[in-house]
Amino acid sequence: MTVPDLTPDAIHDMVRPEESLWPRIIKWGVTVGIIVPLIWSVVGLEISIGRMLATPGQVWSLLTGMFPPDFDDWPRLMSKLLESLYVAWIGTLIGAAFSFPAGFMAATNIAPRWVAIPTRGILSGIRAFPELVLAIIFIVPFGLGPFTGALAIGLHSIGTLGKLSSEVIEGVDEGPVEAIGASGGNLFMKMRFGIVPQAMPNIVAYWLYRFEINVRASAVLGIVGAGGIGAEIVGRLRFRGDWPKAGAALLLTIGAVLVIDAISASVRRRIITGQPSRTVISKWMTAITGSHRDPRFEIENA
Amino acid sequence: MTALAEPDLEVRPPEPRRSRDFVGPVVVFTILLGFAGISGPAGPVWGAIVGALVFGLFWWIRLTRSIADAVVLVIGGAVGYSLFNLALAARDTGVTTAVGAQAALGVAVFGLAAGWVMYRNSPGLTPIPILLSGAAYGGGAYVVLLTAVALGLLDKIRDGEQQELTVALFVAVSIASGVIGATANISFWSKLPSSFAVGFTFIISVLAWNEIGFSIVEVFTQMSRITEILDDFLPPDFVWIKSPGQPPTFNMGKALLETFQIAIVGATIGCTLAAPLSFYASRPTSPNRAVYWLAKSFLNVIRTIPDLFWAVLFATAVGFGKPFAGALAMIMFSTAIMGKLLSETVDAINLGPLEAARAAGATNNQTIMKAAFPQIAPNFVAYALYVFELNIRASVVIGFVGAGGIGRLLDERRQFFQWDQVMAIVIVIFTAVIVIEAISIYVRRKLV
Repeated sequence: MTVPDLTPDAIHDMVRPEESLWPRIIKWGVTVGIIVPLIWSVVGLEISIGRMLATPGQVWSLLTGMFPPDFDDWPRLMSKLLESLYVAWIGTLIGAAFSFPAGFMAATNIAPRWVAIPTRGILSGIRAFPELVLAIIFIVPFGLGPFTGALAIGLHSIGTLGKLSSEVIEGVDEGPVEAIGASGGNLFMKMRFGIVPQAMPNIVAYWLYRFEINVRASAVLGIVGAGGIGAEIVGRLRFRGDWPKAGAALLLTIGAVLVIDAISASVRRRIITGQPSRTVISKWMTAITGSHRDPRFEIENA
Repeated sequence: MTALAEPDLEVRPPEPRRSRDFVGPVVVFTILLGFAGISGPAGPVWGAIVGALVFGLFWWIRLTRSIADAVVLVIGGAVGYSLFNLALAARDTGVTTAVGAQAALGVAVFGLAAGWVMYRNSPGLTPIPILLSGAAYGGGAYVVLLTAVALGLLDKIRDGEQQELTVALFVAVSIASGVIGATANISFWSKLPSSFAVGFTFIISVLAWNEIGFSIVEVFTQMSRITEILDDFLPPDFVWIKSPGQPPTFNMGKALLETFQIAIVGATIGCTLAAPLSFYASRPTSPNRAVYWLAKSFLNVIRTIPDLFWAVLFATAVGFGKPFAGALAMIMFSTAIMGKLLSETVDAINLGPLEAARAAGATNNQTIMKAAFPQIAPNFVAYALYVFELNIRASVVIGFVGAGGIGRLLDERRQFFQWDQVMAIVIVIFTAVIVIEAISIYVRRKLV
């Protein structure tokens, strides 16, 4: 085996391998591919330097107009906010109830292909309609009100939750399912004892996650008259020019969303990891109820 | 090899109690309650019977064997259910929320008695579960009452002619509330968190169901006249777009293009802004604690505001009907989503290269550029495509609040009740979203 001569002179004489041109071409191509549409859009939207410079001032005047917020009719705002939460909750319930079977039907490891492929198509078709568009369509038969909003959110949630559930179901360990099949279990038994125990925590976590998203969506639906706090904010900003009250509604919404996100995130963590969450709330819960360890009633895995 | 100690096969450890062992007692308890209810009168006597039956249930599951507990339960039942019946009997305008709450309070009194018995016999509990038990019985009664009203059962009593229904209904409601409460009592030993979760979900659902007037019957009624409804929507009217003399806002092609432009500007600028923000909002790459908290809470707060609220805020600020407002809204929306996705990815990066860069004397920004960013670059591209896809979906609707794009067209047509034209726009939106999603998924699969 020969040792390469690595004296400085020898290194200097070595031919450097030629760099490929392709990475550079791709890099510049991508850059141009981003910049050109951006410029086209900026021109198309009539965004000028003057407008951009004026924006911070305009936003500032909006902020000073909205704050301090005016909480005078907070009972009405609270009831509207509650209505939004109810709409989101019922929407999530509808989504969870229908997406659960749909998830199984769309999973290729449990459903035959001729069922799974059409189900997937239907689910992604549902997903392509934004909630707001669904709400507009539903207003025709069901009229204005939170009922319509709940239906719209529910239908959209079936699409998204169905897809997520089917992905969870496809990701389960096939071993238990096969074992149940080998010991004579039918399709239902495979699902109930092979898949559900593995997939359920993730699916329930997705339900909660969807509830978080639905809260935001239902806060918006009031714009088309489908119930909730959206009408308060948009109506006051757009049609009545009542900025301080709109600010109050906006602040209430943000607060509610933050609180719900925090609670839901801690519950999801608890469900996924199976460990008690170390949040303040759960500590309080233990402090309040005490930890009961009566040997007569020690249950499951005691 | 030394022999292992032989397990003693004669003495088996006692079987642990499982929650399914409680099913039998609860079923028998319910049936007995039903029989007692059919034959017995409403009021204190009925309450005493309920109390005695709950004691029987507690006896069966070996919670208590003391006469004092039996007395407490019987008296508690008599007092609680007579309050319950008093509240319901005093009503004159049907069961309002207030009457329901009064009635539920009566049952809650019995729940307190049951909770006290449970507390007395379970070492290790604080007194708080007594209150929780009261809440379970009372809440159960309230929910059952609301359900009965929602199903239209309780309205019938008002007529006067159907007085014989009264006793049976009272009994049915109290049976249901008793079962809910007793199940809650049992659950305190078996599965505290899950029973809370189930109870909470159930109560909230019934409340919400009642509050927004959800009705399955209505859904089916409307579905049965689907042909009439479809008459409004079909056939989709694409023609009006081409008709001459329309104002330029009615041009669907232009509106769709505007939507795409808004999405492009929003996604590009939003993702560019989000990149430095998410490095600052992530512990390993943040220069100091103050910047970390500032960036993180900024991202958290802008994430709570839905896309349409951004649109209406910016439209108010820069003027309604201008697509510029939509672009600004989409920038904020993209920043929020990208910031969340990216900062979570940055949290999980390999810290080795960062340490090496710092050891070689790199500043924080150099570390981010040379050691952190290359690790997440593929994720960044994939997220950017995803954000673009979301932007298309969102910018379709922001026109509703006066921020440009095809949504404005949809809103206009809707306000004129031109449902066939609405249908045409919906079909266009649907196609655009499906196509963009397919392209985005294809590219992401190629990249990652």
